[in-house]
Amino acid sequence: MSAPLLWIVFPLVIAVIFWLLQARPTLVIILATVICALLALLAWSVPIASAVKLGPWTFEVGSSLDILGRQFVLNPGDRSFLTLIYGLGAFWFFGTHIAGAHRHFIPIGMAVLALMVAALAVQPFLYAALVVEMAVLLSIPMLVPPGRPVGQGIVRYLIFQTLALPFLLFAGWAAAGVEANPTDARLLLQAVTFLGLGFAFWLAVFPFYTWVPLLSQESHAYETGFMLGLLPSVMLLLMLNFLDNYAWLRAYPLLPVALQLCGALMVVTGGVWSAFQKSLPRLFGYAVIIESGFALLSISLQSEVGFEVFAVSLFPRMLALALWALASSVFEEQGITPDFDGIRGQFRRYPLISSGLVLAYFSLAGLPLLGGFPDRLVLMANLAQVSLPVMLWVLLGNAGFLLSGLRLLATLVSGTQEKWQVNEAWPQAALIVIGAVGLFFIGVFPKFFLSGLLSILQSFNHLY
Amino acid sequence: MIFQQLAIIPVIMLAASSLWVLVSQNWRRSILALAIQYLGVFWLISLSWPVELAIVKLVVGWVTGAVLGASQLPEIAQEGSGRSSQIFRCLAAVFVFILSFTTYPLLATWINTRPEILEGGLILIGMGLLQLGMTTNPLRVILGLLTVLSGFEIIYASVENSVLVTGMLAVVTLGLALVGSYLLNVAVMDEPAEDTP
Repeated sequence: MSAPLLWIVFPLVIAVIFWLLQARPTLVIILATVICALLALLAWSVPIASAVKLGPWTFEVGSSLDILGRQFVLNPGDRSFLTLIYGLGAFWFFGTHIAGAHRHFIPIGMAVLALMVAALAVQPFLYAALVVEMAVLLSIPMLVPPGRPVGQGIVRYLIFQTLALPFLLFAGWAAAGVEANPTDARLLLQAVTFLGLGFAFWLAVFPFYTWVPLLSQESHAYETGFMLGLLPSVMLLLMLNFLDNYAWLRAYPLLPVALQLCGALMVVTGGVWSAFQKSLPRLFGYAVIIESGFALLSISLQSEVGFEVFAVSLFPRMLALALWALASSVFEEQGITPDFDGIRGQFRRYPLISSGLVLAYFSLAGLPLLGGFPDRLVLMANLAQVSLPVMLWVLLGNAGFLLSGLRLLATLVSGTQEKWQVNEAWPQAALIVIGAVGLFFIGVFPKFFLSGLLSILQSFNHLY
Repeated sequence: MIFQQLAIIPVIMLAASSLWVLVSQNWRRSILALAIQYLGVFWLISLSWPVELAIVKLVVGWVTGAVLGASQLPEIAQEGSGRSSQIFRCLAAVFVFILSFTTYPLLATWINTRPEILEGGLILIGMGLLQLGMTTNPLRVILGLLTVLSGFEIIYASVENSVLVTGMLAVVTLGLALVGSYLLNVAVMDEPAEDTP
């Protein structure tokens, strides 16, 4: 038994089985939730590449799997990420029926999860670009289910993600050249340029992010939320992989400046545009852009604390995006248009969904006592030491995002004098409460919940 | 050997076929042009790789064309567009050709390979990007992406000859064709009934 077999091949096989079982959605939901939870539990409890004693039996989960002469390697340091990705997968899949997601969601979602793990595990890691592209292509039927028109957002998503592929493959070739000849400044510039453009397309860095709000608006909130919650996190981890593997890249003097500029531009422009939005899906898109911006800013610090901030921010970010997508989908399921006019006064009719939405929003905005606050506070403090003007600009962008959150809260509680009532079904209420309480507890006890995530950095030995 | 002596022919083929893909208003002709384009791609890649490996690109390209051709619906196949649009596209394509022929020496300082390979690759990348910038029609977008990827593959083949990368790029190309086919038909697809839980 090897770890890639368990966390990559097995979920892929299961995804195919789920595809064949699509006519029985309830069974698929139960199985997907249980399997993802089990995979998360195994990742959390079973060590990789060391002997495990279970009663009279002793076994070892190997770390590598050979396919066509290439290796897929999952190290002990990857266990936290596996726990996170499959744990959140269980959350997403459990909410499928509640959110009214399409029956394609679970089979494709499961395959996408497995491919994302494969992208992180493949050696040489340059092949990750091809694996991610396959995941992107696979996600299209999930984002545009049968019967829906094809919008501009999905077309741009496909274009931008595909355009990243040539740049990243060329970057890999150029990087190998730099390794062989580190003094060649021209080759170095070439590698950094290709790499920069590849990641700019992948991460929807300014100005390539127009597709994010468009896609959020066109596709189902839950399915878009799944992809937009997962993709940037995995791509940022792949960026860390590049940084970890290439000393010349870490030492490149313009790298922190470029990352800082891109991150700040994403937060500032995303925050300012979000202040003028009235549509919840578009706001969600801007939230994803802002979060990617903050992640880039934390990596730009290029210090131990910066990378730790990045690692611990993954869980609250993904949980908050999941909660937002769930709340937004449930509103849509109830026939409520997901914009400020549609949700006016809905707090009295759907208090739990509304609370979940507001808590997720404010967690992403970095409000105290919520999951996003601890890492945001440390990031801003460290950013101020590096560059106070950049920190102030970032604060301005965050203020724009927060302003829209206050408008959202005011809209939800305003309007009618209707009596308070709880119209949520119990599964909706249960999932929303789990997510909201999770965000609250992360904010209040960050060390207890987030310290485990620091082990994600064990896979990267040369970062700092 | 003959492939190497006549290497300018595939460059002309690529320029003509990519222009045809860009300008043509008929999906059948566009896909025919795509097939010719993949012939040129095969020819140029065979300058860097053994013919038995390079032919993978031709086979995959033709299968891609077949997949796209098989999924065309009559009512969305027609794309109305005026003569002025075609003239504009031709002029833009001429601009791309000029750009490709004038900038390939710069690329040659980075990638040490035959000029025909760089010219052919740059023409396809430029024409593909032009196509992507001018349309939101799923068929045209997929044709644009396939053109860009083909251009990239021509140049990339001169620096990398891994069999696994070839296989994975073939999967991506076929995946794009399948996605294109899906996007062309998705709006009119019916939902199968679900079992009652």
